[in-house]
Amino acid sequence: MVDSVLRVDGIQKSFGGLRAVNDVSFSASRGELLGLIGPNGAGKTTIFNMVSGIYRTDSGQIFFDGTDITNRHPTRIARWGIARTFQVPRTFNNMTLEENIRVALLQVNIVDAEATRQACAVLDEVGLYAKRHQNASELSGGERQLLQFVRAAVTRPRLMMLDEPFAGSSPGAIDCMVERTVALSRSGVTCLVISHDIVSLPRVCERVVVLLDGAVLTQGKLEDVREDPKVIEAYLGE
Amino acid sequence: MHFELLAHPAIVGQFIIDGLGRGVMYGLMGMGLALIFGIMGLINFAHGSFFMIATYIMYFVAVHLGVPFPIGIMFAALGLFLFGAAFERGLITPLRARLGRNWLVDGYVMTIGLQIVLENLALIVMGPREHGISRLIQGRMSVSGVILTNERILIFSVAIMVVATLAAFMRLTSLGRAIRATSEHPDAAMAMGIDVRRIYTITFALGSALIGGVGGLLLSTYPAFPTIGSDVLIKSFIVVIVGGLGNVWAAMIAGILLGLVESFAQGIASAGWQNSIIAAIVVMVLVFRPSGLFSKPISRP
Repeated sequence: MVDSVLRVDGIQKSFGGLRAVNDVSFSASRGELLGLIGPNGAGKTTIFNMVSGIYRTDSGQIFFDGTDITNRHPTRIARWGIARTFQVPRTFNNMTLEENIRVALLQVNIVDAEATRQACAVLDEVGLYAKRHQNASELSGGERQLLQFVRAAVTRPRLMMLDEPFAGSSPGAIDCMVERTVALSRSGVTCLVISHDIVSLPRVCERVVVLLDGAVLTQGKLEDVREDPKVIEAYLGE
Repeated sequence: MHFELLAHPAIVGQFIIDGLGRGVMYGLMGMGLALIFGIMGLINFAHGSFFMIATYIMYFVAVHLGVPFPIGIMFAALGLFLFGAAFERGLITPLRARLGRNWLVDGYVMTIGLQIVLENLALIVMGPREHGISRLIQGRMSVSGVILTNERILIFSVAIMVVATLAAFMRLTSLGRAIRATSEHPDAAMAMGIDVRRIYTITFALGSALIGGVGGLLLSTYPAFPTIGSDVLIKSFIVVIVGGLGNVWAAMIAGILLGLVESFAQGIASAGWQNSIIAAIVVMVLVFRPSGLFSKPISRP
């Protein structure tokens, strides 16, 4: 794909005798909203960890904007413009909400008063401004999802990877994340979304990659994939 | 037992001042160990040897070169900062890169090895003789019968300054926030572009500088000697266990608490009792509150 921002080419990853990811290939174009779905243990989060550099790839290659980023250090990958969230929110719970955002803003060299201003602005946009001086440990699970979402977004990424962003979130928080994900996409940010939320996913993604047992089962438009008998049998069930 | 001594306000006041003096020293000793453990998860068994190096630096700079004591303390802190940074970058970083998430046990062994090497090197190079000074500064004052030396006032002042500076650094600076973020979730910190390798090197160097400064400050109490660090390591472990592993502020509070217990135990009972009482406190903390007195309780399986 000419305008491909992310190209994953035949990546593999094993843990001991278990092959968690087996020859997976897919690509995502600029501004695309691509879903990564599949039952538990399909290898979705492992792929996220390989793209973001947390796990080393056994074989295969990962290209970001044409640059080979396979097995590069996670810090370097983040600085190239790949942001991510985690399935279990990894907010900095002993820090205030404002500090959580300020830490993320360091990556784009925004500090001091401007960092405070921007942190307050993004927290206000997602309805967390009133809690800006509270520690993240005082937030609900859904609010932590929202916090790690905006924390990733303020780093001005070119690729945003969201791992189960809607899990445990309130309808209001889900609406907020859906709106902001779509807005990011319209501004040219490619978004890769892992989700089990079959209600919310169509609001975000048009195209999905379906994984089963570490391999790509099929990929295509969401409505086509939902009709695929293999997918129905493996994942959707109805 | 001489409980009747508690009826004399001046004696009780002296116990408190002595206890605070010791406690602040123990707290300062434990802070570097707690900082490194809190951020990196690494228990630096060479902590006492770092203190030992600092006492030698202080002795040579202040006594041989005749440099004023405050500058000597700064030299000791700076020397250990550089030593800590070199050790972390030269040996710990490659270990972490090679072993990934399973580096900690090897890290413990490496610091134990470093302690053995440093102690023996000191013995070979410096010999078994103690190198110390009688006082950093002279003078004392008496308030209602309670004697307070100027050196003790200096140690209190330095402790307050160190705690305030460290708190301000951690809370108000970008680097401090990055260190705190890394201590909670290194993966999430890396995902936001924080150079965790650099953070670990700085943290280890800072923890080393803390114990370096303390080594310089306490030269009159703990003279330079190859194995002087053993006692310091034990005291540091005690305050870190009682306060809570990895909690820098708790180390200072636990240090003061232990200093007071020691002072009263020594005054009311005898010098031999203080270690038994402290050991009993450590055992009780480990049994009833293994996470430490001032940290969140941990659940046990």
